[in-house]
Amino acid sequence: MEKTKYSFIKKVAPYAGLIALVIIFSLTTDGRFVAARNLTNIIGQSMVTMIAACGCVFVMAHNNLDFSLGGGCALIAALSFRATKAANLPLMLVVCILFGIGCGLITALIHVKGRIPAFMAGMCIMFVGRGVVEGMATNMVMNLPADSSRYANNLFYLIFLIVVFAICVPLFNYTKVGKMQKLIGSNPRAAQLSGVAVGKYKVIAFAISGATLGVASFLTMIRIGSVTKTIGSGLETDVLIALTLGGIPLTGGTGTRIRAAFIGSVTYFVLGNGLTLWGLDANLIYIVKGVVFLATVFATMDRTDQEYVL
Amino acid sequence: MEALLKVENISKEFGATKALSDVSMTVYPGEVRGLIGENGSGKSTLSNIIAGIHKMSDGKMMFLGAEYRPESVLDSRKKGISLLAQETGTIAGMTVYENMFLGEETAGGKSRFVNARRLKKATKEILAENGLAHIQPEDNVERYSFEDRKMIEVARAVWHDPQILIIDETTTALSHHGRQKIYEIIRQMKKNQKSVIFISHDLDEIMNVCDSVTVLRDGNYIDTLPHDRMNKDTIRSLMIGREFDGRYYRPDWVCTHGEQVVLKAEHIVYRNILKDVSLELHEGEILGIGGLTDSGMHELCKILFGAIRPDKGRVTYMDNTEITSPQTAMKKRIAYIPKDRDTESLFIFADIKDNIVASSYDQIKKQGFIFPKSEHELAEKTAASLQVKMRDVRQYVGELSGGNKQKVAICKWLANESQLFLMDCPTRGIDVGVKANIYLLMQELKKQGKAIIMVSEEMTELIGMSDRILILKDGECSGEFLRQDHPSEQEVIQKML
Repeated sequence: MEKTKYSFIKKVAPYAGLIALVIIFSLTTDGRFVAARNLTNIIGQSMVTMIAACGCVFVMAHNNLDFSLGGGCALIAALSFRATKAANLPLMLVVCILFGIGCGLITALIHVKGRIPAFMAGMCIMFVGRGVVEGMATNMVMNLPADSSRYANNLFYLIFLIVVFAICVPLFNYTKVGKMQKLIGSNPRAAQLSGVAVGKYKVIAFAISGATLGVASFLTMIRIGSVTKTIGSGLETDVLIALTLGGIPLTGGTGTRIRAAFIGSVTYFVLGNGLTLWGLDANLIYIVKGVVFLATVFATMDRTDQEYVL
Repeated sequence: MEALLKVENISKEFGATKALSDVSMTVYPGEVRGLIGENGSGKSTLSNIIAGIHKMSDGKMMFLGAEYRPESVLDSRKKGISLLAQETGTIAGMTVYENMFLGEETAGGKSRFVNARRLKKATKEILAENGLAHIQPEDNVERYSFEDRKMIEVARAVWHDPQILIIDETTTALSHHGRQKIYEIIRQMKKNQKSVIFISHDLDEIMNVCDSVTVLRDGNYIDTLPHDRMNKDTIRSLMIGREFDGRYYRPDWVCTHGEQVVLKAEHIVYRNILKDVSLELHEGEILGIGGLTDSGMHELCKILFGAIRPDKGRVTYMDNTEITSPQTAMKKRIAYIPKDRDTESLFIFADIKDNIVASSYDQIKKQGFIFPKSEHELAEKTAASLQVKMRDVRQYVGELSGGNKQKVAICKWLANESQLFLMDCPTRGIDVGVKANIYLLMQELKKQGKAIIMVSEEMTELIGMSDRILILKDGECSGEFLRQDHPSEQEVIQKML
């Protein structure tokens, strides 16, 4: 009985949170929040995060955090620009995805072969990525061709979003790849002793996360129109907070739902947008986001199992 | 006589599992009280509560006439109750003297700073008093044998001069010499009107050492017998809840199995835990492997499943495939049921369905896709075949009792139609009813020609179920018994010690 009630609350909480935010912001911003332009703006912002979060779910399901996203996004953008000179956009997309998978594989191999926590391996990618982009951006201007700006619209992003979801959702819910992530997240030791090739499936998860990161990186370039020094900065925390708001268990496991990527990203950008409309100072918004994140973690994290020695 | 310790209506829950319910017990000064019960009966839980390791969920304790609510092991030690734990209680990587004064580094000194020189000197004196002069205070405890480490703990416990000393199955792992040492300490305590709570599996030892014995079963208090009423048959039937007739084991006394060798281990060497162990398992055979916990038998079981790579030697399936990983083992339909159910076998925070189908995705996938319907059908069918008591397959495994958890753990391997079962203590900590179920299942599997290796710490179960018993001692095979020779517990235990 307890369980059904609790899991019901867990299931509806992310939706309830989003609806509550939408109602609050609708009532307190003189209609500016619900204006069509504002809403499309929110959706446009959230879609890139959603795509990256979608792959990141695989990593979080097996109880790891991918800290490479922001720096990885920058690294992929810079390298793919260098490789293709942005002459051919479809080719550039493919290159982005390949570099993305490469980033994921590097993180995963450091983690699995080197037995180093994945978030540390991810941070290494983050620093390398930042360094490479800052260096390249100081030495040259990396603008995409002018005509690429016509792709910078929500419909174009939506097509990518649909494709990414159409691949990731069945992969996560109805194939071994997804099932194994959840088992590993639940109990890695039991998973190994149930015949799960733990290392292999972790590597697959990071490769998927890398692939969606490649797509996200490509779309970010399209949106900005160039490769800037700050491209992708903060993506890893955006994704982490979005997934948490979407109700993902921070320790992974069988309770992980891929819908967290969708609902959480929207909630996250609604929150940011609403606070801006309230006229809140940008730095203050960071603080509010931090508090909301902590509150969500506090409310959702399952601590019954862990014995904290304090 | 005034009671020294009074335990009143204590209960303890671990999540959904009730480890103790409403247990009361009174210990008098100068008494050596035995505590006995099957695995999972709550002996260790009770002693851990008295020693301050666990907190009781409900109930009350009185010690020396005052209410007693220990905050920690250190607290209970300070108040006068010390525990010798079942597993090793020293911390590897630290020196002998650091272990000796663990948590009390500044005790007795004037300063709040740790004075290593003083501690070393004190440790040396304590060791010498206990006849352990060969142990050096500065050495890492890892350098010493299990027995020496245990004796360091004993010295530490005695040094605190406790009113009550709890000895939790410490003696089974010690040599004759070590045991005598502990018996001597017990005699001393008794003489000084202090008390001992003595936990052991060994009925003979309980009979010799204890003045009275309290029997627990499935977390319930059953009875306390004074010395004149203590006899082995009474105790045994109180422990299992009915007259002991051995009937839930196999009825036959013949060794029956096929000729075909299905699994072979050759010259397995692993660290200093296993030294050159070889074995052969035949189709339709139940091969029992017995020994003390640290004899290497649990590691051997993991090696057979490919979960641990041995340093030397190899494990091969009947078609000559070498088993090098759990994945290769699974491809050959080998199942492994670990000893440690909650941490190695089950996904506690997942539901029953996810647990049962965890090893069967390859069987139920269609064109690479796994549909919820086939997951449910398989889980329901398998759970029903073992009569798992549950609400439905969506119930969390963590909510089940120990016995039902074990059924789910076994279901995982029935679901993918395993042909060869490696069972490490399959009946550990579960009630008699489920035990009987598992023994029946084993006989059923045997009848189907499936082979079983059962690692067990329980003599009766090894003798009652196995076609053949191998005994491991210190990482080597020290004896082999055949079913038709009808080995006695004494004969088997002798090879273990």
